[in-house]
Amino acid sequence: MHKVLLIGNPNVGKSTLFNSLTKSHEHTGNFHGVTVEEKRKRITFAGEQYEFVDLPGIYSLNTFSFEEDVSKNILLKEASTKLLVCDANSLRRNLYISLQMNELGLEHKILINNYDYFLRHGGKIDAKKLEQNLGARVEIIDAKKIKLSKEILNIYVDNSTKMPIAGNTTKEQKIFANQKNDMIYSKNLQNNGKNLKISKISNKNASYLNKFIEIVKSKFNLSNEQIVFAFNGEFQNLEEEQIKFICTLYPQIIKARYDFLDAVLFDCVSVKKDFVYGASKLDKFLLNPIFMFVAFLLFFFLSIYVIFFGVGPLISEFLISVFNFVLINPVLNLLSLITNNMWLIEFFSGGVINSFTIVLSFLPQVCLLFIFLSILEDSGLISRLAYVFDDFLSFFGLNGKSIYIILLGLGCNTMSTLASRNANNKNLKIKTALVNPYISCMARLPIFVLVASAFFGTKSYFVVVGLYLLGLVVALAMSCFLNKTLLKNTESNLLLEFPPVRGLDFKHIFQVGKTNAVDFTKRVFGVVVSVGIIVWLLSHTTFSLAYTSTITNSILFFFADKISFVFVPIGLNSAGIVCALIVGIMAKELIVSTISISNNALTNSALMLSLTMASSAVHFNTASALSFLIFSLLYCPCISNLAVLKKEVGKFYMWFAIISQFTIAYLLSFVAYQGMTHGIIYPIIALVVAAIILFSAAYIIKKVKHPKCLTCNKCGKK
Amino acid sequence: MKRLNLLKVKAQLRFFYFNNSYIQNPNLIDYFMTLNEVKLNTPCLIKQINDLDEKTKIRLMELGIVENTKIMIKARSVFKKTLLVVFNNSCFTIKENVANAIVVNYA
Repeated sequence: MHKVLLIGNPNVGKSTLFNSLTKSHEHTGNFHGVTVEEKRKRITFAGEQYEFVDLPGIYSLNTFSFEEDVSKNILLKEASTKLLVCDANSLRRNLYISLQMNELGLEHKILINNYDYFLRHGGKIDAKKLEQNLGARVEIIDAKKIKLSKEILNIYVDNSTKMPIAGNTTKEQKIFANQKNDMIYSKNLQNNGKNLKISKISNKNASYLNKFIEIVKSKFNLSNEQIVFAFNGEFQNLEEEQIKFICTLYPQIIKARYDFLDAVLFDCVSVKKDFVYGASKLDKFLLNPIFMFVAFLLFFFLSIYVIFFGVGPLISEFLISVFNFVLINPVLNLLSLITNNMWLIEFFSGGVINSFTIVLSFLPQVCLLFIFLSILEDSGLISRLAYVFDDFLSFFGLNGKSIYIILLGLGCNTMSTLASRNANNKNLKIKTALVNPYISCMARLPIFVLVASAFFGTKSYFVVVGLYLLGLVVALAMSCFLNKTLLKNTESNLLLEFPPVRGLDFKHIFQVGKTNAVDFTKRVFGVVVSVGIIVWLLSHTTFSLAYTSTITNSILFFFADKISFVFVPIGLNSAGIVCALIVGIMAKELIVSTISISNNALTNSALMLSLTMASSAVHFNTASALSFLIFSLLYCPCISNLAVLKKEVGKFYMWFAIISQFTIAYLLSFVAYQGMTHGIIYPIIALVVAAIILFSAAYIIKKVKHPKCLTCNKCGKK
Repeated sequence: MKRLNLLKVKAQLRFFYFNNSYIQNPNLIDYFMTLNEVKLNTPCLIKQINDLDEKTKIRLMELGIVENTKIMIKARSVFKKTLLVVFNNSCFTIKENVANAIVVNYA
């Protein structure tokens, strides 16, 4: 089997290339930090097996964030064909890692992407000359349009690197040729890189790395391998004194590498003088904080309205009616013809079909949500948002990149917990992972829309928006708390490359919507239907294993009833509600299906009506409905999010997340329920909003009156 | 003129304080400041990077922020905590503590 690694700087087109070659639909975006874990896909082509591996972006082997560690570990440990994907518009910086890979003897091929943009802006690359100068195969590609073929696989996966013959004798090529002779190369790269054999260095000509190796060797007795690995951030079996000394040489080594690159690129790459990759004429608006803040809020509120109160429900109702007409009604009719067994008919209609319908009813919303997110990602606006929101978020101990994680969290908290890997220090990563479960993911939206529509009528839109904002406020408050206590902020350096603002590729955007809808269906469908069936069985079976149509006699209700006393102060002490909340720990999508099974409601409108009826197993009044909404928003991450949390931040913080979320959810639900019951909820909300406004105003006034000294931030002036 | 001379002296003293070594150019034609003090859209040359943790310093150098690189501030955020800088034909955001650590002079 041939293994192919795709490596390179962030946002150069690795994932796009991966999708094109493997016909996948992995998540891509015009933003640094979209891919945070390796993605693998095996394909068989012309009788041969290939495994393509897409890695997170990495600028250098001296890693700066956890996602870069992922790439470096795989690069050093897995024997494979390496394809270095570069962006033509920032070739000099992209090729830095190529030099480091050469130093470690990691043979690779260079693929230059986005060349059409570079050409349009007056740039030019002579690929053949670059190939000769670099001594590595160079190909110019279009990652979006490339198609897998035998010819391409022969070029990319061919393990022998043909060294080009130095052509004419320009000064730069002589320098290169001399250095190449002395450049360290590996003979055998084994699995973990430890058996890397470095050839003996010739002292004939000074090469950019050799002189530094000599400097280190004159002071310490270290092997070539150890020194070269240390120059690239791998300090295997080195003492602290040795590490310190080698680190002092880094600035000179980096300068030497860039001098070498400048010589190599001198006559191969021409760039227009005033060309700035990432700048856009729209930036005068897009970097204006007031414009971006207002535009973002408008976009956010508009998208919620369209998805959950506008187009989304219309498409859902259409889908469900088609589903009922084509499949459900004929199946039920057939069933009633075949058998009179009430249990079987109820099991199909109440258990199986109900669960299908619940998933189907929110599929269009999922599609639309990811389409809106994709519009932000593809356009390059996320970087601008990160820049604009960085000041605001750093007050809470986060940084601008967290805006991307918040937006991802609107789709799926599990994905956004994974994305916390793009943090460059441990405390920031843990903070980001712990606060993002408070952001309402799409799985909670069905609950909000259902309950809010049933109890708040025309004000349901404002209730849903209010819940989103509440989640955000609690997330920021928790981040603030963690920043002052457990996870004191080490300075977060937002080093973020600005991509250019690109036009929208509608085909790609709709593809994203479709892919995510399919993923959602695959991921959730099995869980929701199977758990829905289990919930139906438990809520329609007594302890003597007999069928019961009265849900209060069932096994599930018995256990839920025993613990419902805990929820009395927050008005959720009905056993049906407790069942739904317990099941919701598995996946939030299951809450609505559990309620609909408990209430025997087969359609959304019937379900909404049943929630208001005291005779239903699960019913609310306005106060308990609000309490339920707040509790569902905040109470516990779902099982998949907990699994990722444990992996990313450890057991201690996972339990911290569970306990803190449950406590906060309980407290806020208590305030909401008691406030609503005693008619003081609106004064409470007004007080809280006023406190936030006053606090923000006081902070802004303080900042304006006493700005931090720009020349020296140590003077301690207040 | 008097204000310019005062600024020069102040900048040189600051450079001396940060560096603990005198600048090599005895004529002192150029005067130095931190990147954070430079006006918007004014090209300047990087002289050195001080007062940062090693990891960030190395990463900045690896991105191309080395001596004699031309750099320019394109925008500042509302509270001046984040800057958008242009160097080597690319745009990057950096924090104010990083900008305070980069010593530059006008190109």
